[in-house]
Parts: sequence; C-alpha cells; structure tokens
Amino acid sequence: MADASGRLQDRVAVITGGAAGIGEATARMFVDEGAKVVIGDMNEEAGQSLVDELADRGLGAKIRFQPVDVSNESQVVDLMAVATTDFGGIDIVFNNAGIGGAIGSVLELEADYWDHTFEVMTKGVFLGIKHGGRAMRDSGKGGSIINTASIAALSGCGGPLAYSATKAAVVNITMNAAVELAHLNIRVNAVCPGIIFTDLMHRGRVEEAQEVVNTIQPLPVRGEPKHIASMVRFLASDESAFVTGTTQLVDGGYLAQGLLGVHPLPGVTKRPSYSGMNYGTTGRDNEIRFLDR
Amino acid sequence: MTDTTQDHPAVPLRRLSNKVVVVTGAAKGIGAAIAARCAAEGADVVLVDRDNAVLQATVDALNEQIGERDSGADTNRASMVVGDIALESTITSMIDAAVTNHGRLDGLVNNAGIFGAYSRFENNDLDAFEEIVAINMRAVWLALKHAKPAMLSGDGGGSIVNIASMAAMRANRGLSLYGMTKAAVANLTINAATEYAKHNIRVNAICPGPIDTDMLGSVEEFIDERHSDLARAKINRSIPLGRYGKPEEIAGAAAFLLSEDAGFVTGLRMAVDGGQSLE
Repeated sequence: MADASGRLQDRVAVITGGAAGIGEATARMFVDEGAKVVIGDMNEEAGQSLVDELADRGLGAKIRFQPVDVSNESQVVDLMAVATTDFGGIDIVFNNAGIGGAIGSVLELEADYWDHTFEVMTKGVFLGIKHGGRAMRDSGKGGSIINTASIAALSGCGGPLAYSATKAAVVNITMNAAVELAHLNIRVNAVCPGIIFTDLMHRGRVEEAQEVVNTIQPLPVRGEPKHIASMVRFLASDESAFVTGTTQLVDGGYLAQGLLGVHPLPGVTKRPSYSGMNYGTTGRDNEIRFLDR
Repeated sequence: MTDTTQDHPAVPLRRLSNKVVVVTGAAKGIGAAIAARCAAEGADVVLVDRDNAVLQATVDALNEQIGERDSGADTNRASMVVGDIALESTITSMIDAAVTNHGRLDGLVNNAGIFGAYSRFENNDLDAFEEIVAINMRAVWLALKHAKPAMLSGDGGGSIVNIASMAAMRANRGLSLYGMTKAAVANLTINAATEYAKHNIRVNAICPGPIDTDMLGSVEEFIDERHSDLARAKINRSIPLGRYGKPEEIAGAAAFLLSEDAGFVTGLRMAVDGGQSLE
C-alpha cells in the first residue's frame, strides 16, 4: 500500500467480523502497516482463505484466524488468547462483527430474532471490550478499542429497527467504557459508517444501490470498506492519543443534511411488508416471511 | 500509566505531497502545529496571522526544517500573510497567496480564534460581541466562501477543516460568546459540507477540548487568578485521560481530515478532548 508508513508497527490487533467487508479491509490495511492481526469470524471458509492468501504473500507470521461467535463468552476468551499466546499481547481491538439482524415491521418482529440481534451486536461488543480490555490492563500499556456503530444509531431511517437500536447501544457502551478505562490509558471510540458498498449493504444489487446513493448522499464518492478502515487506523494509532469516547461519522455527509435531504437508505422502508432475520455474511441463510397486506 | 503518545509517526507520512494548505492563526499554538504537520507531510503552506514578528519567526523556522528534512528542496514552501482575520481583505489575500505563490489551493484550516473577554452576560458589551463574532465566526464564513472558487480552479475538490471547540456543545462560565461563535462554526461546517459535497470539497470540524497552549493558560488565570496551577489541576481532573491535549494532537487530526485517508468523511465534528465531554 502506497501510504503505509508503519503506523501500527508491531501492534497486535484483534478484529471481529474480520473475514469480509469492513473487517477484512481493516485487517489487510493493518497488516500492511506492520501490525499482527488476529481475525475472528463465524465464516470459517472466508477467514481461512484470507489467512491463506496473506500467507502466500509471505505475511503468514502476521495473521491468524480463529472462528468465533462473538456472543459466546468462552469463544471470545479463546479469540483473545490467540493474540496473547501467539503475538504476546493485545494493543487494538476492533469490535466489528455484525449481522443485519431482525428485520421487518415492529408489529411482527419475533422476540427470538430480537434477542439474537442484541446477543451478537451488543453483547458481542461488551465481551470484546471486557476480554480485550483485560489483556490491555494486564500489559500495563493501555490500548485502543474501536467499535463499529452505524449512522443507523443516530437516525430513524438508517437501518432496520433492531439493528439501529443495537448500534445506538454501541454508541453509549463506547462512551461509558471510555470513561471507565481512561485511567488505564485504554481509549474507546466508535465509528459510524454511512452507506458502504459491502455484501451486507447491497446484497448483490450494486447498480440499484448506487442509483439510490446518488440521490441521497451529498458526497459523490462511493463509500468503500477502505474508507472505514482508514478511520479505524487513525483511531487505532497514536495519532488519536487524545481521542476517546467519540463517535466518528464516515458517511459522505449523509447525516449532515437536514430537511431538504432526508431519504431512507437503500433497502430501508418506512413500512416493511415482511418480517424475519438477516444473518449477513456469517454463511447462515436468512429467514424472511412476507406479510399479507 | 504509560504515555505511548508520539508527536509524529515512526515513518513520516507524506499524505499531502503537492498540496497547498492555508492555515489561519498560524503564528503559534495549534495553528503553528498544524502548519508544521502539513509541511512535514509534504504540503506547501500559507501561514496567516496578525502577529507579524512571531509569524515571521515561525515561517523562518518552518522553512529551515523543510530544508533540513527534504535536503535540496525548495525552502520557500512555507509563506506568510500578515493581517487581521476580521478583515475580508486578509481572507482574499491569503487565498490569492496560495494560488499566486504556490499555484493552487487544496486545503484550508480555519483555526484563528480568540476567547474574548471572560465575563458574565451582563458585563459583555456590544464591542466584545462584535469583535469575537468577526474573528471566530464571520472570518470562517468568509473563508469558506472565498476558498471554493480557488479550490475549483485547480483539479477540483479540496478539504476544509474548521477548528471549533467542545465549547460549542457545552456551557463554560464566562465564555458564553466564545461558545456561541464555536457553535456557529460547528453549524457552518455541516452546511458547507452539504453544499460543497457535489464539488468534492469536504468540510469537517475538529472540536478540541483543553489543549496545552498559551491561550488556554489565560483561561487558567481567569479561573483562579492567583493559583493558575490549581486551575490546571482542576481542569486535568475533568479529563478522563487525565491530561491536556498537545497542539500536535490537533495537528494529527487535521492532517487526517485534510488527506485522502478521510476521503469519505464530510460534515464530521470530531471531538479531540480526552473524553472530557463525556462527564
């Protein structure tokens, strides 16, 4: 990478949801910057193939993959143990794993889907902070924790209801953890991606999504995983040593606009005619039923 | 607690090579740190300030550093415009200086600002109001206005960083006019971001918390005239990270926002406050 400078030289990072999309782009960027990276993901096939590819480029000593369900505490403990055992500690945790979660009308949402959404998206972040933070405390060096929130956290039309509620929780977890952990020199920040072209966002319908984006996003730039990755790199590095508890928008100006620019995001409808569960890129099939209207 | 902060990364970044950046209020403090960081990242820099003598010394030192670092390089990569930012002529001069002396305008950092008089509502007179509005607020609006055609006359696109403050969101006793102008800057930022986006001009704000500068030293004296050290300790306790920020840390954030690293970031108000606003 042309602008790599060793900003993260010899830092150890754990990245959840690191096998695809934003997590994958961040893992690649971090390795290019000199970091050692443990990626955790439910999707073993994608995770292993990323590790194999980097190993083929001679970077095998800097990357590990560990299958993880971030809502399972013992699996999160195992994930962190890979970093402490193989790489000698943890400096950076990127709590990025997420799914689309429960979707559809609030009047029809299945409570089990709701619970599962919160298990992955909020409990997963909590466990990442808990066990990543313990390693940072024990090393005495502090560290940087970055959580993936979303513009959905900050608006009423930025994503499915349950997804948005979990992301709002992530914004607050970020603030409270930042206050508590500051004395250990552990910084905690959140990044709020706007419309980023990942499989989770466009579900294969790239052109259709692009047309919607052209009408609702001020900046004429296609949001890519690398755009989020470079914000995460800033927050992970010493460049942001005085930044903690913040929520950083990376959204092409989407949330800056007011009355004259409010439109729902691609795939978001004000009155959904379906109900179900979107498992994102975990490899698990979605479950959707359409409602009679 | 181990302080792992570094003023600059191990390997210098060169994200602003061939860019031209104007920085206002650049003679000292945060502005000088931003100008130095931009130059270190490869940019030509126009430094603007009303304090002629201090500005000249800062520019000379900067050109010397550039010469040492990039041996054989053009040592006039930093130039200066002396003037009061409250005057529109200063703002047009600085934009002209970028285009005329350095060939283009890619970045603008609206940093010049004052705290104004420390006084309660009933003691603030109209002159105090007008002075702080002219410097902290009107100048930012004018610079946003005049920078756009200059940015579009080059390759198009650009990045503008406004230095607002966490005071934009909070009340600070005795600094109501300061807070008011900084809230205005935060709002100008999102309006300009939205309007300029189609030209690929990104507009963001940095909201510093307490930063270790002469300007903040004057606030310490205001808080406790006889014991400014006690005031400093009190401010430190209000910051979760337990220390003041350094000007270089605002400069790092500014360089990030000016660079393509922030290519999808516009309309952001970035807090750099050690977590102070959380409590």
